[in-house]
Parts: sequence; C-alpha cells; structure tokens
Amino acid sequence: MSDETKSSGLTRRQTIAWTAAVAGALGVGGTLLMRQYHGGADDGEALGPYDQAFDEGVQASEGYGGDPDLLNPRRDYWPRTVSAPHLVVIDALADTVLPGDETRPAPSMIGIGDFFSEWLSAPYPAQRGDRALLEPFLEQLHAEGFANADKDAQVARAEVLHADETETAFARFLRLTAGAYYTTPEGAAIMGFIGNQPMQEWPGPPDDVIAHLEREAAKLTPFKSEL
Amino acid sequence: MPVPNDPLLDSEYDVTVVGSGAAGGMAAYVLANEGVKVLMVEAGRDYEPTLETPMFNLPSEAPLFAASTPDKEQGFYDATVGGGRNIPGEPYTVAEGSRFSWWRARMLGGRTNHWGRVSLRFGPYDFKGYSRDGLGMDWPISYEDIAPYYDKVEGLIGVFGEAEGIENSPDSPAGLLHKPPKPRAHELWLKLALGRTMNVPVVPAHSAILTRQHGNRPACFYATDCLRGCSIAANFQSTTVLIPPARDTGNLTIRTDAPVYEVTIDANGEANGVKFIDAETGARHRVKARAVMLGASTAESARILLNSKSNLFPDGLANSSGQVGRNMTDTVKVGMIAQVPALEGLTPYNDEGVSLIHSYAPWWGYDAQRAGQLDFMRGCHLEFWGGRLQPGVGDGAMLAGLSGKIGSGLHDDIRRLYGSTVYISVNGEMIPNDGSYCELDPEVKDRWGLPVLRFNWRHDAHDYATASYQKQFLIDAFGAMNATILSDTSSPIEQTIRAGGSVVHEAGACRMGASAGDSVLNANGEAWDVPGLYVVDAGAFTSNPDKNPTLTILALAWRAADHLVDAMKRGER
Repeated sequence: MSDETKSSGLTRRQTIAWTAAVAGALGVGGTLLMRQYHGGADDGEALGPYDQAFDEGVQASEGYGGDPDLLNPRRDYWPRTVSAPHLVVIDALADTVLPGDETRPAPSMIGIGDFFSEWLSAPYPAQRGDRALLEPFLEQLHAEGFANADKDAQVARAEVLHADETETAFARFLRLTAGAYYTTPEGAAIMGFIGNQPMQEWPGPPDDVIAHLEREAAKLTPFKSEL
Repeated sequence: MPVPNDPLLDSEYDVTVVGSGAAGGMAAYVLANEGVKVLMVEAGRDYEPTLETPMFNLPSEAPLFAASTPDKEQGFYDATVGGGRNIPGEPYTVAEGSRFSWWRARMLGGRTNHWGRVSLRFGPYDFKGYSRDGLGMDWPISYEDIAPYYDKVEGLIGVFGEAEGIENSPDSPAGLLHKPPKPRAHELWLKLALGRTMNVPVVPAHSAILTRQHGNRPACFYATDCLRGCSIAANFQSTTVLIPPARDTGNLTIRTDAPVYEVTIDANGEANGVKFIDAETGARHRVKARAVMLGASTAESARILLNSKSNLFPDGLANSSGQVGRNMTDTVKVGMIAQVPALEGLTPYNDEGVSLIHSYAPWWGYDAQRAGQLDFMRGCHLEFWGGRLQPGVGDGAMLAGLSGKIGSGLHDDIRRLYGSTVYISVNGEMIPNDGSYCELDPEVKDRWGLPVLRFNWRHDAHDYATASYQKQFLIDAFGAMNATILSDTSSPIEQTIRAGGSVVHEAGACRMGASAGDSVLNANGEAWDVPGLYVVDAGAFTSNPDKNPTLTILALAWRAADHLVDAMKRGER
C-alpha cells in the first residue's frame, strides 16, 4: 500500500475504525449496500472497516481465509469468547429494543445471542472495534442488573440510552441487533422479503405498486436549475 | 538464470494465452475452435462454478451473517475465491499523492466470475473522440470495424436489452438480444421521476444474463445473486460460457496456479513463449509457442511486459514507444444513496428479478454539449441499485438508523422503509493524462522476487468537470423526487471522485493506435514491436468511454484472435 498509509500508522487506522464503528450503519455489508457500493464490478472504496483492515495484518489462520467452503458454510471458525453474563444482557437488551409480539419473535428466540457471540469474538478489525466499543457497555449494564430488572424498567433504561446521543455503544448495539434480526429467515419475512425461490417467469411489481408510483410521479414537477 | 520447460506440460503449443477472464477466455475460445493448440496460463486456482457456487445458501448460515471481511472483501458468498485488493506476498505500491486501488481476481475465469454483467456497446463517437473534441487519441478502428464482433459476442454469451435508437448507443441486430425483464419498483420510479423532472430517459439495461434458453444454457430462474456466480450458467462467466466449449474441442490445455512473469522472444524479436512460476512450489518454467496473447488484466499485462527486459528491449518488451503502462484510465464515477418516500410501504412482492440492474439511463446530454452548456465533452450513464433484495446485516442496520425508534415502532418502520433506498451511480469517461500510469517499483518485490507495480494517479480538469456535473445532477435529481440524500455531499470534488482503480474499469496501459510512435499495439491488438505478441485485455483500449468495458474486451479479443488465426492460415505465424 502507499507510503502515506504505511507511515500514518495505527493512529489513523484506529481513528477510521472508530469512526466506522460509531457511524455504524454503513460498515457491516448488507446485500443492498454491497450492491450499491460494489455495483457489480465495483469496489467499496472508503466504505468501511474492511478497507482499512488490510493494513491490520489479520492472519489467515485467525479468520476463515480467502477460500472457505462456500457450499457448506460454518459459523465456528473462531472460539466464542463473550462471557455468559454479557450474553444474558445481550438477549435482554435486544428483546427490549426490538420486542417480540404475537407475530414477531423476540430476538432472543431466533439466536441474537449466537450472532453477537460470533461477531464480538471474530478476529477481524471491524468486529474487534465493536468488541472494544461494546464490552464496557455490556459490563455496565450487567453491573446495573439490567437483565434482571422488570420489563418496564428495562424499557425506561433503553429509552434513556437511546435519547443520549453520546451513547455510541447503544447506537451500535441497536444497529447490529436490527441488522442481524432481519437477516434471519424469520426477520427477512417480517421485513417483507419474498424470494430465493426459482421461478419460470418473473412477474414484476404488482398492479397496485405500479399505480401508486404513477400517481406519486405525476405530482412531481420538472427540475429548474437555480443557476 | 536458465529456466526449464515445464516437465508437466507438452511444449508443443501454437499459442499461449495468459489469463482466463473475458480476454483470455475469449481468445482461447476462438483459437481452440479454429483448431489452434492453446495453452492457457492462469495465475489463480482452478474454479468450477457448476460445483462451487453457493446458490441458495442463506446469509444467516454464513460466518458473520455473510458480512464482508478482509478475507472475503465483497461478502462471504462472493464468487471471488482468490485475490482481491490484498494478495499476501503480492503487493503493489501507490506513489505519494496518488489514490489507487487494484482489484485482482486470481482464479480461473478472473473477474468474469464477479461482475455487474452490464454489457454496453461503445458507439461510433467513442472510437473517434479526439476527432470530435480534441481530447485523448482516436482509436485506429471505428465502430464499423468492431460491430460484427459485438454481434458475434452478444450472440455467443447472451445479452438482454432492447433497441432504443439512442445517439451513440448502438442498437443490436433485430432478434439478437434477449427480452429484458420489467423494471422493478425502484427502477420504474426512477424511470417515471427522472423522465418527468430531469428529462432523462430510462431504458432497459443491456446485461449478460439469459432470459430465454440459449444453446445448452437455461434461462435465468430469477433467484440467487449473480455476484455469487451462477451454477446453471444463466449469466456470462468465462468459466461457464467460454472455457468449457473451448476444452471440448480438445485443443485447450489449462495450467492454473501459474503466474506468468515474462514473455520470451526469439532471435528475430518475435514472441515465442512465456515464463511462469508454479505457485505451489515456486519453481520457474517456460513454455514455447508461436504466438502469445496477454489477457492478464490491464495493469498485470503491462507489468509482464515491463518485467520482460532484454538487450533488444531494455525498457520492457514492446515498449519502444515508452507507452507501456501509460495512459491508464478508470471510470469517473460519483454515486449517492438516498431514501425515497414514494417507495415506502409498498405491497411486498418478489423483487429479485435477475438480481442485477434491469434499467439504466444512457447519456442524455449530447444536445446540451452541442449547445455549449456543459464544460465536459464526453458521456455518462446512470446505473440504479436498490429494491427488496435478500437483506444482509447492513440493511437492517441502515434502516434502524433511518427509523430512529426503538420498540415495536422500529419493527413497523423497518417494514415500511425496506426497499425505499436507492443508489444511483453516474459513470463517466476519464481522459488519459500524463500523470496516470503504472511502472515497476524500483524497490518493492513480490514473494517471487519480481518487481511489483507502482501506480500513479491524477485526475485532470475534464475529469473534475465531469464529476462535478455528476454530483450536482444527483443532488438535483434526488431533490426533484423529494428524496433525502444519505451520502455525505460535503466533501470537495477531489475527494468525491473515486480513487483510480476503484471502479475496476482500468484500461489503456498498452493502448492501440495508428502509429508505432505513440501506441503499443496496432489496430489488430498486435504489438508494433513484437510480431506474434497480442494484448487482448482492456489495456488495448485507446479510450475508456462511460460504457462498461467487458463487452468490448470480448469483442476485441475475438477480433485479435481472428487476426492471428488468419496469419497462421497464411503461414505467416
């Protein structure tokens, strides 16, 4: 890589990793986002953690390597190192920010703890950044007895955290929870995803969607440059 | 150091093809079908999409729910199983003050395993840019020279699209293209909104994806992500469309895990083979052939030539013009993501389609340029990304950020907002300049001890004018459709414009031209200096129009292979 990158050293990388971790949403690669930033053949320049991660010297043996078995994916490439009390807090907090009801399972029921356990134990720079950010936060909630508080108290505590814009760890936890939840088959269906099934023909948008878009577009007015 | 012939290989080959992607795959396909004995040498590993593509695997089954990592930079299931921006032991360097990022796919089929499948013909203006506006250099060929090869390539690989009669976006012969899929909701919205507010026509994309049976390849079944590859061969990959039939001729031998580092010449200065490294053992080998076709990628082919030094060519092979490595371009691109209220709360439906773009907007500004209303002279096109695709971790995370709620309201918001964000990229033409080139790094070597490339990159005023227009267009267009731009628009244009190489449309490092003094290749893709040496990747491009390069790489490689076959038939090679 460039001399500039080499010489700027850890401080710059840490700064970027921190910014990416805090900025949150764009750093974790979703289908749509991958498409948008990679645009098929395009890359994810300046998108987020993995860009900087090259310099961090992740050893191939630590992660799953560049050529893992894609047909038989595993989720046990690295040991899980999140403590049991923190996993209890994760379940409780995730169930508070994204509560289950009669049609939507609570995050703890569809494996949110397993996701966080894998994510926060991963050897990659982005996940290590999340670990550094979230571990003290989880410890604080554990010390407060968050998981054992009654539901109303948990909601009240979460609302305080949510309202505090300096609570970057909470904001990151919220995004990761939503990101993971809606990636599961259950969450994707709740979100309204329909697909991953082969079809003879692709019918396109339903008539009511087309009619709605035509109505909305008819309200637009031609752009006039102010220059 | 004497280098032995590879004991594993029969050394009697007519042609050695270096690389196995769009360029190498197409060259080998044409040659093998003409009865020419071909050895294809590929730096990366063997790869078999019919056996290796994770078609229906769920993101939640993969490590980190398939999020990108330094090991799999474009997500766990991405087709790229070798290479990337960081290849251990095979670095590249970037000159101080330059921004460049090099994506290398090291696997059979190269970058064709993961690509956007956008397949646009260059138009008549694109080959004669200098004559039109004084920028860059004219190609030594015209649209009429390449049009028959576009026809042949589209007929072979299968491309959907329509004839639109658009200026400088040539139509294909009737019946050649497959029927395009309907627009998705977000594409229909952009067609309606951009047409109404910006007077920009949105039309069906041209994409190398089958929508009807094509020979022995079935039509797309409208599920799974093309960027993972396609086990049923319904899109174009060299590994499913070119290499298998070339192998079936019995005329193609493939050597993988074998990075080529030198093209050899005989006493007459004619190409007579290559030297490569066995990546497993580090042993060096050479193979002989009557001709060599380089399709290793724009920069890698230039590197091989620059590393092929001899008394006859002390500055690198085929480099008497000094142009090897020079004139590099990539696409000038600005893209933004925005949230569109009109796309909220739509009735859920299967929005996957062919997984890549169904619609695009070819350049709409020729009249404005003729009227002198724009301060740049070349074209741009729009690509649209969005829709209700299978969600990954980033999608829920982004939508949670947009919602700003917690509790059951967050659930409701995410369902409402899903599919309402769109990304538009504006792809434009970069003009070659003296400051954008690759050269051998004077100090850094790779793990084989071979000099690596050092990239120098600069954008000039025309590129910045293009990018500034792109940025303002997106701000105006999103504003006119009442969308909220989520991308940071505050950066100066020097930072907004993408780094060199980052769009992965590098071209020009061995350009073809009308004279040996200012180009590396003649109009057939053969080196002026070295008979029997061809460069068939995008390095041969004299200019790099906004249109995505792969279709033109395929067409030029076919054309160059035809030229070589003709020379062989005449006994000249």
